[in-house]
Amino acid sequence: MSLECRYDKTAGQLVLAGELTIYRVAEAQAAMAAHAGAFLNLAEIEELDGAGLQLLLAGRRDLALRPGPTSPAVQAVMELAGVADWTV
Amino acid sequence: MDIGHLLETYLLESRELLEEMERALLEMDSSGTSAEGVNAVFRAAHTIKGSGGLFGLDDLVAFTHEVETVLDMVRHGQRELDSALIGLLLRCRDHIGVLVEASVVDPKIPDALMAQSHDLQALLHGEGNRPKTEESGRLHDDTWHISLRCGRDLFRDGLDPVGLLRYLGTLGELAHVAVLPDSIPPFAELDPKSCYLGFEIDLRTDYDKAEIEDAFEFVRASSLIKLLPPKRTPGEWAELIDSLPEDDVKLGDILVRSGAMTRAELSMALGIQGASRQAQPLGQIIEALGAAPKEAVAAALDKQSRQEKAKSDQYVRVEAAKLDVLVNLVGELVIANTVSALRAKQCGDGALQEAIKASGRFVEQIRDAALGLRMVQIGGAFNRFQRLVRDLAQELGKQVELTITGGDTELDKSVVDRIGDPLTHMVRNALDHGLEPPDARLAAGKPAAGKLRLDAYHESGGIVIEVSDDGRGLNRDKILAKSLERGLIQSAEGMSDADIYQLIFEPGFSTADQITNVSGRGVGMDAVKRTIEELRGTVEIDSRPGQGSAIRLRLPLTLAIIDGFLVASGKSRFIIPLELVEECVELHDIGERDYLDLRGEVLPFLRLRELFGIEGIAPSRQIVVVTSYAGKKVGLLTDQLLGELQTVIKPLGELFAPLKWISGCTVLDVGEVGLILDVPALVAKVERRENRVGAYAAA
Repeated sequence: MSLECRYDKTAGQLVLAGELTIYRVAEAQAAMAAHAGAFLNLAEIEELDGAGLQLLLAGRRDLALRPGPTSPAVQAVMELAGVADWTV
Repeated sequence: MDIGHLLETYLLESRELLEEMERALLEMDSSGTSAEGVNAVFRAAHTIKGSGGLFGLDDLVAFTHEVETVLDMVRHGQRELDSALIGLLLRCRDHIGVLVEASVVDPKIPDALMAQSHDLQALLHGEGNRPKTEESGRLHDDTWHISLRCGRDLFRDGLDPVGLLRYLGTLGELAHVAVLPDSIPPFAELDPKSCYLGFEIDLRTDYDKAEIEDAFEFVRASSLIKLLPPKRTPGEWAELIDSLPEDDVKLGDILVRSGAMTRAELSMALGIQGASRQAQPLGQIIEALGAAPKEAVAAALDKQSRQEKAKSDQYVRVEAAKLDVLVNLVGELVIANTVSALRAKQCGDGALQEAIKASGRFVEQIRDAALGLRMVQIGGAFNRFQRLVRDLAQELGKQVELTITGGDTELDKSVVDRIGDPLTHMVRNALDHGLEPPDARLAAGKPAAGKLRLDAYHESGGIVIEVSDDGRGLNRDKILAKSLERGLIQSAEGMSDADIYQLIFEPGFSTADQITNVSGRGVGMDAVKRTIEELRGTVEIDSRPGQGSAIRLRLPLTLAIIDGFLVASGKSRFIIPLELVEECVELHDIGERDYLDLRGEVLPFLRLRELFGIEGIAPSRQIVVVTSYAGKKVGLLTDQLLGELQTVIKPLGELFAPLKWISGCTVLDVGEVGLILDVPALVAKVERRENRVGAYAAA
């Protein structure tokens, strides 16, 4: 599985799709750094692990990335890890 | 009894207490409320009020009483100390300061100040009626509490904390999980394959300790894991909080929110750690804890004894003028001893020379001790910037993290007193012009909060004070344009970046597009430079576009005495500050050149004879004293070396003000005067010469 990062200019959204895991965090980090302040659309994420979660938390804190829609896989991890405030 | 004298003491004490109060408030503002902090603020207000009562300063007492009342409510948990209240209390603190100064002159406070008192009181009460938010009760004490701080290599080892949580979920019910993102480094510096996550977990399960621990078998080696069984005591909480890397109060808040412990338990647990300034609190705490584990009590005892020790450091308050007299006398003693030593040498009496040498050693020690008395830590001057930065950042709508290092660096009190204003100006400039607003920073890929640093450290016999930021840096083109417009320079030809940055020190220079309240009125940087030069120091700028800038002040440790190196040119005697002397080189047949080959290095030199118009014929054998300042070497060509001496700097009179290259003079022998060379100025002169030559060479 791979990770796809695309920026939707009209919606001001950074869409991450596929696998946000330790194998793909470097790509995700570069994409996020290039779009500080954007909405993060995670509706197409199929797999999220601790490394991905850590990157998301750091991005929200330091790049003012705003939580957008999430997929069930993302919601499950957020709930498990006690991230209660990842809401649109 | 001399009331005037006592009032003076009261004034000084109050200033110190107010400083302490400010420090405690700011600390709580940045890192959360602590029992210790609230107590410190309360104690300060209480002492000022109490002593004020003794002097019959009724208006001051009345106002301070109101503040104390509010603080007492905070202390007893009836009122929450939030950011707004801290801001208000800071204003009250300032007002108390004004009242103290005014009432020492006249106990009856002027009406204008009274009106301010009333306004602040109204604010204190207006907010005071708001009840504290409802206590959050404990949701579960039948759970195991697990604190997990992941090891850096967890991901690389193929492990995933999320998977671990899933597994824990299979052992029972995850009553609550909180993730701690605080240890994750700033996004730009984050290595996403290193793990910085931490979790506070409450697990309801029937398994026993060993079985739960099994879940952590693979991460145990690299990670920090703490297990607390159900039905915990505050003592155990205290121990846990103490053993974890996070800030105590913040972590405590997370635990309360997770429902694992109550607010009351938390304050009790934190009480052990901090609030031990009153007379006999420890007994009470132990009593309150009931079955507190031995180790927790031992830890508390240890902390308390450390605090006692800090308190027992005693001071004697001495008037600064008395110290000045002492230092002056020591200065004269040093001169007198130097004269005696020279005389003894001339008359060739060996025993007398020995005796004078012996007394000389003591004179040297007395000198060091006397100067040491005037040495103060620069931390005091640095600390007030916490407040300044907080207020300014708010006013400008910027986020700033202030880091201070080297606060324990010592330098002469008179120097510390005089750099206050220049430092303030530099900090204001950095905040106003240097750091960008949060949105601009984010757009530039930096964290929203700007970094501002104040550093002090020793370097080659002097002290360096540095104000640096990670903002936009100096704008070379803008400075150039403005300087041309103002006629400060005719053209930019042959100017290095460093030269251009120096232009901001020209009188009447300011590039702020927008004149703000804070800076940008075009006064200041020239005043900064003037003050520093008066202190025999220099100012240096480093700047990188988009990455930030740093301004470095280099200052001498003391203004009164220097260790010097005595040289002669013709009949004139010159003194070079010893800490700037690197070595001496003999030269024959100098000819017309201005450079010499120093072990393969090109060393420019200046002729003292030429510089000071000394007449007569130079000897064929001359000596170059190699001096070094701020990383640059310059040679000084002299006729003769006369040796080391220590000497008292006497300022030159107004009449000699136009004399460049000389920073002061001293009495060498009866009737003989030595001139102290201003090495930084000489180095700068050579540098200008170099640049000119460089420009010609380039053209």
